[in-house]
Amino acid sequence: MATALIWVEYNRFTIGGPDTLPGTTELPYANGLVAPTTDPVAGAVIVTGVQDDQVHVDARALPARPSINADVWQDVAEVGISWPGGPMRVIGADVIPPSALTFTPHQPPGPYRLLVCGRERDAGETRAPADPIEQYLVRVWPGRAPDRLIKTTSRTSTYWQLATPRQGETFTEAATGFRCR
Amino acid sequence: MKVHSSGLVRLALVAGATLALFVLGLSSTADASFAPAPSVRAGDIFGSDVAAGKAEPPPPVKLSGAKKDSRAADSCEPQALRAAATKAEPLTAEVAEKIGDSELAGGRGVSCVKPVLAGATGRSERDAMLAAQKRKAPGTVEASRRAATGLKDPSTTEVVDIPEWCLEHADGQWRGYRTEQCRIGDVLVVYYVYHNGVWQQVGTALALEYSFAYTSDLIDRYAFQLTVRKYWGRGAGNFEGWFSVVAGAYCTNDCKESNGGTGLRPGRFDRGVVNDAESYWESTRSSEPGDIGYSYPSWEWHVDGLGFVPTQARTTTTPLIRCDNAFSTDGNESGDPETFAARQPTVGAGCVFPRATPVMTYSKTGSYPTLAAHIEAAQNSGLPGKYPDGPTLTRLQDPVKKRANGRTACPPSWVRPTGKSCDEYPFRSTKQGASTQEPQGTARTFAPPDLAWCEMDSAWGVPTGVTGPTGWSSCMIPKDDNSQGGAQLSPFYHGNRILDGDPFLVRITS
Repeated sequence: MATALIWVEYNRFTIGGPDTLPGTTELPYANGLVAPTTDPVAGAVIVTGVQDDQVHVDARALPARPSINADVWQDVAEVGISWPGGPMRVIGADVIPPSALTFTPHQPPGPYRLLVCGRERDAGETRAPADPIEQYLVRVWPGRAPDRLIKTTSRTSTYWQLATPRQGETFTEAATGFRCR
Repeated sequence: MKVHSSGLVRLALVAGATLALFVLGLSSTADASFAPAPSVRAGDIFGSDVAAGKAEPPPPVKLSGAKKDSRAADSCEPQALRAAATKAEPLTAEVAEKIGDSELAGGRGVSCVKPVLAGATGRSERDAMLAAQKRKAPGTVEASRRAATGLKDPSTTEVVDIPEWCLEHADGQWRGYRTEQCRIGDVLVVYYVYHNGVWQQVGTALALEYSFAYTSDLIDRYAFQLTVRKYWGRGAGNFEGWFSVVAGAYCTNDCKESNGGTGLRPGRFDRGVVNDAESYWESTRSSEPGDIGYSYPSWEWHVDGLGFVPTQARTTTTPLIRCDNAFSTDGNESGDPETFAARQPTVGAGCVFPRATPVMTYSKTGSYPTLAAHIEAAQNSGLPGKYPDGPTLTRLQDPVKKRANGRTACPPSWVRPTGKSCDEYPFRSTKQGASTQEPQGTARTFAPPDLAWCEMDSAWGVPTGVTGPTGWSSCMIPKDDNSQGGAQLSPFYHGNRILDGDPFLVRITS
């Protein structure tokens, strides 16, 4: 298990490999929390409430799906990624020193499930230093399954689900086509 | 007639650390649910609105301060001619007859090359040649993509098409962009015979010299392409099948040869013949995180032919190239020390022409219209970063300072209107941001009645109507415009290898 305060910018951080550059122009419009990306290739993007600040990330690789107490999280979603192989990293803003967290050893290539839980997501830009820090739980394990939106209660999540991607922006909708309400 | 075969002259270079060529790309099989590829691709350096065709790219910029070509520009000066004449074999009767004056037999033939401005002589042939090339030339965006893609493949040896923007400026000046620089200029070849103490000019030829250099943000390999095309000749300068053009490439400073280079082919100095040569180079200072190296690739070429000794080679040298590994994702990592957080492979080197100021373009009719409009209003009120001539913005990568910039321009105490977030200009990711700027200015906004979409609470006391080069602007704009428009800076910074402290400009189009 690896935990860290990660710097984010433009309301996002990503999951990628050791040679993945920070940043993506993609966002999880489908569920307002997490989506697989095409850039970074075979990665994922998590959208945050804060635009330019730190969030707390707890990331871990597991052999199978964990049980999660959704009651303590605002938003919970699970998507699939097609991992090319290698260690997995949480990658934050493009800053100096780099803000990144390697949370797995080398993972073999193949399909993986990515579960993300988020809370304290709605203070956003109005978050004062004394306010709770946004928190994210990231869990990965090998396997295939339909993508799931398990819980969505934050205003942040709702905002991005209702937003419309601009022409040219990617929009990743899971095979099940789930969309909140 | 003996024709010299063209060849590549490789000069020994100072060896740096051994550099393994870097090839980017994670191979993966995407699930069917994955979205289409993003609109920004390798080689896109102008911003997503340009990549998506919603704005035109900016015109190429003439590069000031380009290093002067290392050899004397005029190899036709008398001293050079006299020196060359001492090495020339006596002209044969055949050559003298070909020239049209048999009495020149026994004289010494010399040729020289010098740059000239295009004049009336041969103009129609010259312009027709350029026009024909322009019809097939790639546009700015496509040319940049092709160049970047080609460099990533170490087996690439193909000469690339000269971009249209370069063909439109055949004036002997280097100009271009962050990852492409081009110069098309006219050269005059003069043929003399020195006989019985008299110098006699026996011919002239005009040619275009194309120097096209390109880099990629994705790899520390770059290219310098040379083309020589004769378009007019008189006297000896009009002899067909008589002269060859020979070239050799070299590179100075932190560079070494990469595979794929060629000499001028076919190497014939005949009217209309396209003689192309390509050279590839790699940085010798980009293997470690934080490495930065500089280099100048060059081509030397001359016209060679039976009976005429060339004075000295014509040299063309690119503007300064910078390769860096500052974008390596290796380095300090936050979080618990874990044994599998071992030192990652060093990746991420790329190269640019650092004297070319990158330009980020947003269109007011593009994907992020309110963001674009805010930036335009802020720049027009005197704040820095305005294309083409404004004081530049400089990139800031310190996260604490970035956050301070954001909090100064957009205090957390301000309640955001529903669906909106606070946008600031200059960007918080620049040293001109609200907290880090020097000298320190004050806030301004463009709230109604200035701009209907700029929503600000009058209780915050941010004045409108403020102008001047210091300070900052704040506006509440739609959150998705703000977040996604801002996120476009990420590929812009990467694509242009804009390091901490590097300058750039922001351009707003209609």
